[in-house]
Amino acid sequence: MIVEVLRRLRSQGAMLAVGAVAALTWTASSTAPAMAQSDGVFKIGVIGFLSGPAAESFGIPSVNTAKMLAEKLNAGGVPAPYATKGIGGKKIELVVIDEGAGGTKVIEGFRNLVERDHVDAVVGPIASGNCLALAPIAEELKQFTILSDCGTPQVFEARSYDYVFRAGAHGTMDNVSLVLYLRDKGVKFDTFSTINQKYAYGQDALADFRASLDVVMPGRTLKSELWPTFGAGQYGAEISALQKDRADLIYSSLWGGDLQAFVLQAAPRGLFKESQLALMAAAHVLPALGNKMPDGVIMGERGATGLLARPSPLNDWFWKTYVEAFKQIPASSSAYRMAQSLFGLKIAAEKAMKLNGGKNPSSQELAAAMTGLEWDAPAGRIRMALGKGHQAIQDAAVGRTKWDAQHKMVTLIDIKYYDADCVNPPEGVKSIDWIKSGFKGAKCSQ
Amino acid sequence: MMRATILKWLAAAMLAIVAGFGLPGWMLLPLSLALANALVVLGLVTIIRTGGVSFGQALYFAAGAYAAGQVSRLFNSADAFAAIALGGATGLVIAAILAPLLIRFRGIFFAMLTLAVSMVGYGFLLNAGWLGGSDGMSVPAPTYLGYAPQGVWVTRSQFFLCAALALAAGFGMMALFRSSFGLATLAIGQNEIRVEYLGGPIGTIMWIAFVIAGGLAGVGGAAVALIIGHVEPEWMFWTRSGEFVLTAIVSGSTSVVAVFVAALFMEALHMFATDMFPNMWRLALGLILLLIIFVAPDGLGSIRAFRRFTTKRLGPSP
Amino acid sequence: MEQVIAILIDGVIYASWLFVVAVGLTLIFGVMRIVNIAHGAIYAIGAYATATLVGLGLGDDAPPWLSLVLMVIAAASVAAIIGPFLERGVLRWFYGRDEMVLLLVTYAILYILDSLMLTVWGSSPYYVTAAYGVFDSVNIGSLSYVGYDFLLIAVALAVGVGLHVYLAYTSRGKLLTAVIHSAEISSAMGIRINRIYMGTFTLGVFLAALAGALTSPMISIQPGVGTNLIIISFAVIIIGGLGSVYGAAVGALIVGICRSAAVHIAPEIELFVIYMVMVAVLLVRPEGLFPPMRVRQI
Repeated sequence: MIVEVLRRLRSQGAMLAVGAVAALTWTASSTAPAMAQSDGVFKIGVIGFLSGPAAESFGIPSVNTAKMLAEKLNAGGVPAPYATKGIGGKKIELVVIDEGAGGTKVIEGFRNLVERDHVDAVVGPIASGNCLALAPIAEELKQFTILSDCGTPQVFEARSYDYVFRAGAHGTMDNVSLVLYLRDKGVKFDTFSTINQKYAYGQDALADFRASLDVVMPGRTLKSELWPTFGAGQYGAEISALQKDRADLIYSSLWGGDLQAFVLQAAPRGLFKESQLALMAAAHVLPALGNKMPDGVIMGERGATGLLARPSPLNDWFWKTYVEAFKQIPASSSAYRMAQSLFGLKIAAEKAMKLNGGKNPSSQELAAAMTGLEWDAPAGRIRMALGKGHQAIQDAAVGRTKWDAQHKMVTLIDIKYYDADCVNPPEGVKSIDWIKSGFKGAKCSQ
Repeated sequence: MMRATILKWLAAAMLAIVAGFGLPGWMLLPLSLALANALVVLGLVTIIRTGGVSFGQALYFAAGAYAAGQVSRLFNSADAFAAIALGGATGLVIAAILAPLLIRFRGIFFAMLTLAVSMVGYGFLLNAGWLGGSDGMSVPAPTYLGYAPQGVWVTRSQFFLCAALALAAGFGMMALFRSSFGLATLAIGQNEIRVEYLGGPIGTIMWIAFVIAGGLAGVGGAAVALIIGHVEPEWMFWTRSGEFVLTAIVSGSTSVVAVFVAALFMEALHMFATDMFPNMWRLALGLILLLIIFVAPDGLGSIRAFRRFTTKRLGPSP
Repeated sequence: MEQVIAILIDGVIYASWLFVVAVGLTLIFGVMRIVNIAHGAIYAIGAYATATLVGLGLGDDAPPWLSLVLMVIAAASVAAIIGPFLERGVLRWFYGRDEMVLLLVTYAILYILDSLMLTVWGSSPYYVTAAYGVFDSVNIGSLSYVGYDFLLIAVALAVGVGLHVYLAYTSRGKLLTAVIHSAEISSAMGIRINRIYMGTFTLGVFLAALAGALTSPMISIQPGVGTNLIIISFAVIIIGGLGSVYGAAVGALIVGICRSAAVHIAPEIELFVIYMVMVAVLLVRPEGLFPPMRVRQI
């Protein structure tokens, strides 16, 4: 029936023209610029993966956290110092954009947030490439933006920004702390192999790991360096290659679905009986993998986050609230990084509002308040110590897996914490130079 | 007739100027992107007229974009016109080198080989550290012969640049489509062997069509790079080529104006779908595309409103 | 020596997996002239369906081999539901259009299926790992393989031999071969081409879903599992020659072994290898190794 009608219309191309015009106008009208900023509302644009391979590991935990915190902050009752309602009494409103639509669409979406929705602040995105693309645009549009998640140290090492901040440590400390852990826990190995995805994240991770290893534990022999494609799914050949080497240690920065597939395929083949596995950031896969993750695997999770987080009233509240809301534990660092971004934003905004008489702060006012800020978050103390007060540092943590049969979950034991100043470069020094200098200026507590 | 055409183009130029001054920045951005993408599609349509569909235009598009990013490294200024010229030249040269290899193929083989070649390029970009690897590299905000726009003029000048490029390319391609060369491409698309028997230089014609398409894709890529300010290997991935093909199929291959309408329509569609259904936009987009392909079998160019713009009424295809 | 053995074994296992995916793709193209870009999404649906069935049908203490049975059931039900629906409900309205238009129709279907999967199964991962441990492990030199890997080879052989027997020795298979050569003339000779189309498409869907089901114990099933696969399977069937079952087998072996050789010898170029091989083969044999017959029409 419908098809018949459509067939008849087929010749009447006019319909399509009308349709096109209608779609255009609808788009234009439905998305017409918000009237003057509505009073009593603090609008935050959130960019994160809702689709694609990074959604499950990073995007959804991050966006979920944003939604949960917006709701809880608006209702009041978050532990101190975040007990006041909303942001400076204003109701938090979120506008969420899917990063999975691709880099160009993220930029478009960001522009829409700024010029159409007139958001007060933007938090996100997750992929390093998108951060590098977005930061200069935010600067050009003079839009206060907090990069919540991405790891590449490049952002604030290649240039400086007035309006762009990153409320979480960059990727360098993840590998530095892992290598320090290997030394401190006396993990014995003479040979090692590596397996990392063939893209910037994997390449940067391996460069940092090897440079740190050369400083801390020199003289280890590299057996093989494997570079599977991102999203490969099948690791049969890689596992054979690793098995053939019989290296004492296998290092990897795999994450999410790729890491899970690798573990699921390698464990039954006995790879982890021969070699100690050391993973840069992997605790986010533990709830999903369960007892398929072997015991004794050394791993971090991009800071003292998730299963590696230190107990504190704020963290206990965050953990409990997240579990109640989503029926799973906040094991992903992305949940913690979103939380610290929003808490930092709240502190900065309220600081700025004290100075301007309670209006919604401008991007300039927010940036001034955020520069060099320090605040408490579920992951511990966050300090804007690098990049002229725009790049945060935070404590790192590394642990070992242990299956807890009673609670049917993987726990992390033997956790060692590293102070932020111990595993992050000092201000003004590039990460890779700092590692190669032998961690000059690092302040470690032990 | 000629005067009427020129008047129409003048009207289009006026429209662009009004739009550039009247619309807010967030609407100029998608418009500029749509116009830049339309350049690539215009080139693709030139190839489609010869009967093949290239599934690898993203190669020339991304090459142009990377070239535009190199301008500020090569010279001391990030001049938009130099970037566009270099982008176009890069696409053109790469296409000219690859064309003799690719145009030997027809139909689905042509589509798949162009795709394969662009994926080799994609792999190369991922490995090219000096081009930023998978993170890509940033493209500095352009200046225009020394003029460095500020504030809303940044977006506005980008839009005027794209509009000017679109008008020039549209005018040029329309003339080309009407020329004997343009008609010969159509003839090849309809029945290559007949053209061969009539003594048509098929190889040369296809080579020229392919090179023009490469050049236009390079220009389009350079323009998008200037607008977005960042270029990454993803731009050479096959799905990007797929989007160009999709737009070309929506537009059809008979009308130049339809190409621009299709590009604007696709951009609006994408905006609409992601805005209205943030979680289900792929579903909405898929359904709407099915509908379009069903309702307008030969693209927008085949429907009545555009007929007057078409080069020539075509007989039924064999 | 051990290196060579490892390359061969890894390559053949990978090739078996690729073959099951690619042969469905090449069948659909051979008979219907449709390059089905949504093939990867169907593969993912096969994996998801297995997860759902295993989750429904098996408690923790059920024997692991039962999940092998459920895999086949899952693939068959996906094929029975999605195959006829897509072919009768969507694709047939576009028959007679250009190959490229049909390709784009399947592109739209890919968008739709991706979105539906996210709606039905959400973004959280699923696991059905029990089946991976059904068979004992096999030691070859210093290498240890899981028996399940060799099941993949067996399935691929069964699919390949089954298709060969069907096409070469059964009357229905011969009808199918006739349609592959010329749909128009077959139709004029009284072959009910609509049925053949529906049957072939459903078979193709079944093979993709089966590959997904077979892979499900080795991966975490989550959005995006089929994304990369489609482009590799294209490479396979283009190397082999579009529409040829034997071509798909040879193409899968070439791609599988080249990839595994790259992983063992030069891991940096793993990404390149598949496309390089494809370009190289096409330069020598423009229509693939087993080209379909074409008639020059004047």
